[in-house]
Amino acid sequence: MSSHLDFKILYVDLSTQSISTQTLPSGDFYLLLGGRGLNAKILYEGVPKGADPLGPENLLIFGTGKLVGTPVPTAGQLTITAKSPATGFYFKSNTGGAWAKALRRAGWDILVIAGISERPVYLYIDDDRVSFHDASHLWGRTVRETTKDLHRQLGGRGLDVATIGPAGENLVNFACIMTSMYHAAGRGGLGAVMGSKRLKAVAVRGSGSTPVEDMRGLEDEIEKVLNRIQQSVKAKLYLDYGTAATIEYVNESWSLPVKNFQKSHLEEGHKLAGTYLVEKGYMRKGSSCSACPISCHKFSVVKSGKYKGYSGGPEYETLASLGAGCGITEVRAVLKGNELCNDLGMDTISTGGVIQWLMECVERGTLPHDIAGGIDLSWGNEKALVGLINLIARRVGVGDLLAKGTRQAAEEVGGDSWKWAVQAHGLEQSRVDTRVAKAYGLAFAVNPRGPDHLHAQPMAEFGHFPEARRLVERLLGSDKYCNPSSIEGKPELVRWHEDLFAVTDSLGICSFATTTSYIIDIPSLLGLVKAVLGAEFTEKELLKAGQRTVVLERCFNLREDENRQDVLPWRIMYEPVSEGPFKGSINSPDELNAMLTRYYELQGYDSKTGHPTVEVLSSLGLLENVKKIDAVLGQPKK
Amino acid sequence: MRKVFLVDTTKCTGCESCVDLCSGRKTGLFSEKTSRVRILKDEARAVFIPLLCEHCREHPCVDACPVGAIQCDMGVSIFQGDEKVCTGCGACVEVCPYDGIFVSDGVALKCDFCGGEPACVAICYPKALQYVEATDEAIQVDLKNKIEKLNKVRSLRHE
Repeated sequence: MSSHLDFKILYVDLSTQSISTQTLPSGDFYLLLGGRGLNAKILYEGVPKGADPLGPENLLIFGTGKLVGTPVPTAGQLTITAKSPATGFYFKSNTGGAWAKALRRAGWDILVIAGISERPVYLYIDDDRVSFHDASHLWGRTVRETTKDLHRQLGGRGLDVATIGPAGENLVNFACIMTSMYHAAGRGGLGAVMGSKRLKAVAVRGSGSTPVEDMRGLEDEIEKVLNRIQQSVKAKLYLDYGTAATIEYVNESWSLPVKNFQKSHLEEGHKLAGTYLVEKGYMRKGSSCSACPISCHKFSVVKSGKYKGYSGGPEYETLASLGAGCGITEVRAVLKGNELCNDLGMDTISTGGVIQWLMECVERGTLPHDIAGGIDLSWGNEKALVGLINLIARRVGVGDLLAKGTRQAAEEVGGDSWKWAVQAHGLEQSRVDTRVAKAYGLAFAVNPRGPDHLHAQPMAEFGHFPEARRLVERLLGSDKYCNPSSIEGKPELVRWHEDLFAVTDSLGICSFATTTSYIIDIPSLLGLVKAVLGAEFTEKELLKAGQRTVVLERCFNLREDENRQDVLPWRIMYEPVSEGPFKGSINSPDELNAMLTRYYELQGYDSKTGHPTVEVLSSLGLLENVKKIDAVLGQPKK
Repeated sequence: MRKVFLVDTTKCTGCESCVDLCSGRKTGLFSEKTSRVRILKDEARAVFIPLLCEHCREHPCVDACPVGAIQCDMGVSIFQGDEKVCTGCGACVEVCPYDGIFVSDGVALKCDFCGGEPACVAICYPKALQYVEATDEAIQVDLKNKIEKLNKVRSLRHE
């Protein structure tokens, strides 16, 4: 009998232009919840060790969660999973907008894309009708043009488009997939995976409905969440300024990665802040993901002048990466850079990362100052942004080198340039200086993607607001552990955040609500799940489902490379902060190892190698439920 | 005191929580098709316009309905009694200046205030939808909102 806890999966093979469907039983809901969790299982079982990320064997998996399509606050998230061309490892990238809801309303929980099409195609999922269409007229066109074109062509209500831009087509190592025009599944080059499959876009129309078990109970739970938002300082900041709210504070506390993490503070850095953007009239209003009351995603406009334009955002990471990191404070130039990245389909974090790396190469004389032709590559030159972004997306001149990402670019350029390639495993670090925030340091090191903030955001370590302090007190017995400079208690904190983050992604809600701002706490989450799905969990069971995902993702990586280490970029581990009150701070190998040892112990991993043990895989039920999982145990199959 | 429904298009962020909660309360399923609220969107320019009955004093829908399915109560139009009276002819949709009525599966769908505590208002965190006492000030705001909304809808439809 079918239940609303079953998962309906749509498989599409682009090589043969064929489709098939599968229904997974509700047991998989209790095991991995959906979205990110189930995607990880499908990837682990479906993509063999050593598969080329840009080859036909790689899978591109679009997974929604069981809360998506309901008005549960923030339940509009999509997880896209594949093996990353940037890292060669497991990668999930999350995005909002309304695409996930459209897929659910079309009757599908997860879409799996395999193979490679002979010609550029786009896929049209019109409820249960799936069709392949020639996309040669769309190839080469921007995200905005493609999205508008498909809306015009397919018309009607309930349609949403996920597409790549020219960067994805040109296999830029950090190309992203954009949904609802301005929402990016940004990191890891999943846009290049889509480009390698010659899949320009997936247009989805969902005209169906999403069920709810207990409508009255749900309304009560939603009211509670909205009341908590009302009291949350963090939510108010997101609502008013989006993620750009925090940049001024980070700069004033000398923690902002400036000039490729060489400096920690930027004169006139306030000109990149959300308050400034709103005051000047650039940041206009919220543009929410489905069901989101917080509306941190903004819309910005520059009305006139050479940077005239408009787009979604900008986010903190974009302002920090394209702006502060390059030493640029002309925010209109950064807004133009943001618009170009959105249109061309490129991750703003890595785009800023490679540009900063290039600027430092020129500063240190490793590369000649005319390497980009007429573009002046001095720190702070706003003209470099627009010029380089176009070159990268189209892979022209030095842009072709940068399109490979900092790791590969540094290998080709040689000298000491690898030292200021602020990446680990091929992923450029998010613009968070983990040297001054130890929980973030550990979270970045154990992140299966590489050094970034989207597998755990242990914001609580700062203790900035009451919800954060209460959480630390509950987990560690005292709020004295709200101290970003100390490693004490941080492994416990990271572990909790990782598990809850995985639960959040898998149910299809937003991590800003459950972690970071701590608005939707666990009792509230349990209430929402029960009201919508009629499924009952204890707190422990729910977090365990998250832990399964965390361990499974690690297994994928260890199967690829059993010697994979939990590390941070070289600069972060070996060069201390150079100025300000945190001068001398560093994520040294000793410090990191001390946290890792405790973290492995908490996870039940081998204390030396960090490999999951047979006991852990067995107690989590992964051994019996995930095919070939024992491949990571380094011993012959039973 | 009489109440007035305020629809502020400048505050709507397009999350569609109102759309879903409305349908959930009416039918127990979340679906735009059965909702009395829809959002007209221009995602490129982040324009979001909640379309729903504005409960206007002019209520041309009442006069247009050939079978008397919509009637007046306290000066505004509401569905009176059984929706089965409605034949789904769409005459009300034609005359509504706010595009606030929808025909779906052969029946017109129109906001009825949820009997006094509208679901859409309860869930609208940015307060784009409000249901407030009809003070002189609120009536002025309502008028201003309506003009702004009509202009926005017109320019969006022209594109």
